[in-house]
Amino acid sequence: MRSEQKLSLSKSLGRAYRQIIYLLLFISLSIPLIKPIGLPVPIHETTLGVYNTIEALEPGDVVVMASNIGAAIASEVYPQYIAVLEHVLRKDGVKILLVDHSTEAPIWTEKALEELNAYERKSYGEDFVHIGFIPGGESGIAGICRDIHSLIQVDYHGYSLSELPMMAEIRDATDFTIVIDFSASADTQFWLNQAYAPYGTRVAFGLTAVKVPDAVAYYTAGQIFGIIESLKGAAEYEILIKRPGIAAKGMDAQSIAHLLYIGLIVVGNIIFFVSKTQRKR
Amino acid sequence: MVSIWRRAAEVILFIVAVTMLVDFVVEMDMLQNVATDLNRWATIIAAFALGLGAYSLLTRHIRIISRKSEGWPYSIAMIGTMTVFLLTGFITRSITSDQYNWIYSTIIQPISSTMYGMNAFFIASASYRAFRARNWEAALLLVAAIFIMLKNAPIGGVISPTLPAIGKVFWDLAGATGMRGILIGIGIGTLALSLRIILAQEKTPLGGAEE
Repeated sequence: MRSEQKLSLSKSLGRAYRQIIYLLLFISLSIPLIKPIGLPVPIHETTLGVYNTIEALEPGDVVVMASNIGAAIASEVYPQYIAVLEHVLRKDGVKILLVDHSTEAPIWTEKALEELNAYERKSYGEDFVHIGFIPGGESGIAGICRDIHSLIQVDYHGYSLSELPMMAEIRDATDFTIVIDFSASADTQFWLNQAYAPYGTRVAFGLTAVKVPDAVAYYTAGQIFGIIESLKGAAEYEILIKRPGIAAKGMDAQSIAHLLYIGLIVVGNIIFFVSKTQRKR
Repeated sequence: MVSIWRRAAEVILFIVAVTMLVDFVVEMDMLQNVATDLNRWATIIAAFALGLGAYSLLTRHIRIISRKSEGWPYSIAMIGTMTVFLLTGFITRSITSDQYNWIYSTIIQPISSTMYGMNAFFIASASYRAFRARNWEAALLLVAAIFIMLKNAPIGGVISPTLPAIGKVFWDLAGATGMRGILIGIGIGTLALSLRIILAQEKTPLGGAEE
C-alpha cells in the first residue's frame, strides 16, 4: 500500500514538474525584484565601446539613434535606449537625430523623450529632431543615408525639415558622426550595409540577447564600435552613466534565474543518467 | 510562353538593379539623382504596401467570419482591435495622443511583454527536460551553455572571475567564428540569388514560377 502511494506521489511529481519549475522560477525572479541583493555588475568591453565613443563626442557631432522598439522587445531594448539617450542628452552641443523603423517605435521614442524631459532640457529642431517612422526597411535606411531631405519633407511632428535649423547641416550619412541602432531584427545589418559600407559612418547596436551572436561577429571584425547586449548591457550602461534604472534592478533576478536554469540542467541530466542506468540493469 | 508584360518587368528590374549597383561604385551626379529617385520610390511603395497589408488582413478575416471558419471569434477580436486603433488614430490625429497611449500601454504592451516574458518559463522547462547530454556533442553544448550563462549573468563573476572568462572563450572562439561563417554563407547566397533575379533566372520575385 505504502509503495503504491509512493509511486503515485513520484508519478504526480513527475507529471507536475512544469508547475514546480514555474513556481521555482516565479519565486527566484520575485524575491530579488522585491528585495535586491545588489550583486556587482561587471562592465563588458562591448558596452564600454558605446559609452567611450559617446563620451568622446564633440559639440556639433551628430548621433543617429535608430529604433525598432515595440512592445514585444521593449523590456530588453527600451532600457538601453533610455540610458544611451540620457547620455547623449548630457553632451552639450551634440545633435540627435531620432529615426524609427517600425510602426510602434515612434510611441517609444516619444515616451523616452518625455521620460527624460528632453523637450525641456534641449531645444527641439536645434539639438534634436524626431524624424518618425520610415517605411521600406533597408531601402528606407538607404534613403536616409543617401539624402534625407529628398526622402522626407516633414518630421514626426509635422514640421518641415527645411525649417529645422539642425537639419540644415545634415543631409546624408557623411554628416552622421555615429549611428546606434536599437533592434531585435535584421535592420541592424541594414545600417551596416547602407551607412558603414558606403560612407564609413561608425555604427553600434543595442540588441536583444538572441540577436547578439550575429553582432559579435561584426564587433570582433572591427566593423561596429560597440554592442549593448540585452538587459545586461542596459544595466551596465545605467551604471556607467550613474543612473541606475529598471535594468540594473533586474540583474539580481536574472542572475538567480540563470542559476536556477543551471540547476535544472544538472538535475535533468542526473535523472536522465540514473534512469538510463536502471534501464540497462 | 513568357508574356510581354513579364518580359518588360524583367527589363525594368535589370535596369533598376544595374543603376543602383553602378551608383554604388561610380560617382556621377546624374546617376546619383536617378538612384536617389529610385530609392525614394521604393520607400513610397513600401508605405503603400503597409496599407495593402492592412486591407488584405481585413478582407481575409471578414471572409473567415462570414464563413464561420474555425476560430472566427478571434477574427472579430482582430477586426475590433484594428477598428478601435484606426479610429483613435484618425480622431486624435496622432499615435502618441493620450487616448492612443492609454490603449497601447494598458492592453498591447502588457500582453506583448507577457508573451515575451513567458519565454523565461519555457526555457526553464526546456532546461530540465531537453538539455540532455545524450552524446559528447550534446555534452559539449551543455557545458558551453552553462559557461555562457555564467558569463552573461553577474552571478558568474561573483562565484569566480574564471567562469565568465571561460564563457568568453566559448563566446568569442566558437560563437563569433561560427556566426561569421554563417554570415559569409548568407552573403554569398544572397549574392548568387540577386544575380539570378537580375538576370531573370529566378521567376519567383516577379511571379510566374508556376508557369
